[in-house]
Amino acid sequence: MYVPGDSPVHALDPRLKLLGFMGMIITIFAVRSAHGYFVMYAFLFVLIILSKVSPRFLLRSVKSIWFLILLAGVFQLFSGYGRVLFEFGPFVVHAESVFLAVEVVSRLIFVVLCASLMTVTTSPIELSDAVESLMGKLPGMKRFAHELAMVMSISIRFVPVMAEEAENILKAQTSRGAPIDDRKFTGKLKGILSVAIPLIVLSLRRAEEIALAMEARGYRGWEGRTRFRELRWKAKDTVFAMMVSSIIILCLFI
Amino acid sequence: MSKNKRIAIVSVMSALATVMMFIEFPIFPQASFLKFDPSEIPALITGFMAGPLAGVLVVLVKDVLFFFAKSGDVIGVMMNFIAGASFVFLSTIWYKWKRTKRVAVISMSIATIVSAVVMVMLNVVVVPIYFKMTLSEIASWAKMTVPQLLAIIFAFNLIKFGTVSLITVPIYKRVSSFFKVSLEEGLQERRIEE
Repeated sequence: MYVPGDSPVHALDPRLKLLGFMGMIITIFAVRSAHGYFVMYAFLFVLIILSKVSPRFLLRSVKSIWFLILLAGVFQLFSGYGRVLFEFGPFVVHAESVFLAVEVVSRLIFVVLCASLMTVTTSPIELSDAVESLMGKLPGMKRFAHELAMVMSISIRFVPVMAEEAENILKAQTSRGAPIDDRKFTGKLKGILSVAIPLIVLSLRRAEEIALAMEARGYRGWEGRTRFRELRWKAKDTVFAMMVSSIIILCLFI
Repeated sequence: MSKNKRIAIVSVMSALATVMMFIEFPIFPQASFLKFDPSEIPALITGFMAGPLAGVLVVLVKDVLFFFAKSGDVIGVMMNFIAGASFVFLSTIWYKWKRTKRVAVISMSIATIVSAVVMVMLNVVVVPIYFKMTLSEIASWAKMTVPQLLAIIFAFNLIKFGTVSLITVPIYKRVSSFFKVSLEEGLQERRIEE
């Protein structure tokens, strides 16, 4: 999902982005008034414009959970609070319900937009560095934070490799007559087995190679490790942090 | 097992699990909403090989990477993590000390039931926040009582985790040579420590 760019949003410290967007998502669940929603949305739109990401691209992620959003909206619409607005056969729509439906739908869309704006403007490697740095601040978590970030970076590197591997095995086993497209459940299970076993054996072998390569390069955990790219807090990060926190506080009280 | 090997296994298996997360298909053709994704299988195998915490780590990394790749539904990803983590942890914690097939099968059955219960409780907590309605309102909307609704959620997760366990047993049998190697290594390490 990451789209490289040189916008002000891309250039922000990834730690700040992680915390800021998390804060915004939590805030939207606590906002009580329509003004609050308006301010939060306005702020998000400013960020989207600043990030120079095409809004249509962001809306694609909303499309992936459209059913959930629709369901939540429809549930609310017929929940039956307040005075009756109009009746249409068996459907009775109440005035209060319309507000609630709008609220729930806009809240869900806000969560999805926030999350995808973060992943679109921050590379996975930056995010795992941010996780390492933030988690490492907690007492006693430094080692675990480093290992988690290490695992995440290696995984990110190997997702495309594994996808290719999986496709090759799938094709090989299909050509040997494995029941991949079987309509019956048991047939499907057999199909999964014939792909999963070689895939897992292959992964274990690959893991062995990676471990050997790490050994050969003298990897020994976080102790004495230096970084090529260091996260540096800049003046614009302070400005953005102040903006986000003041907007969150504003929205919680209006 | 050396620390580097453990890191390497967790990384590769998380990558595999992330790939597997994209292959989801309905369990029964009649009920298409009952999606099954085999991504918990690598996590379970890792848990058996390298310990319960490694297995939980695979679930965590897979969910985070899936979130990066597909993005969007934060709360869904978090619920997936809690369910998967409890399932993998409970399945593998006993096996850590007693490495027999019987222990593995018993733990997986217990974990299946407990995780399904955890999922029901999670739904009770999360759904009202998500939909901004109480559970009884949703149930009455779907013309059901609350226990019926919870029973459906329970059954769905029972089938989901049950299928994962069912597939993992034969895979475990085939790749157990790797398990045995790691077991012997463990014994050697213990001997050296003594």
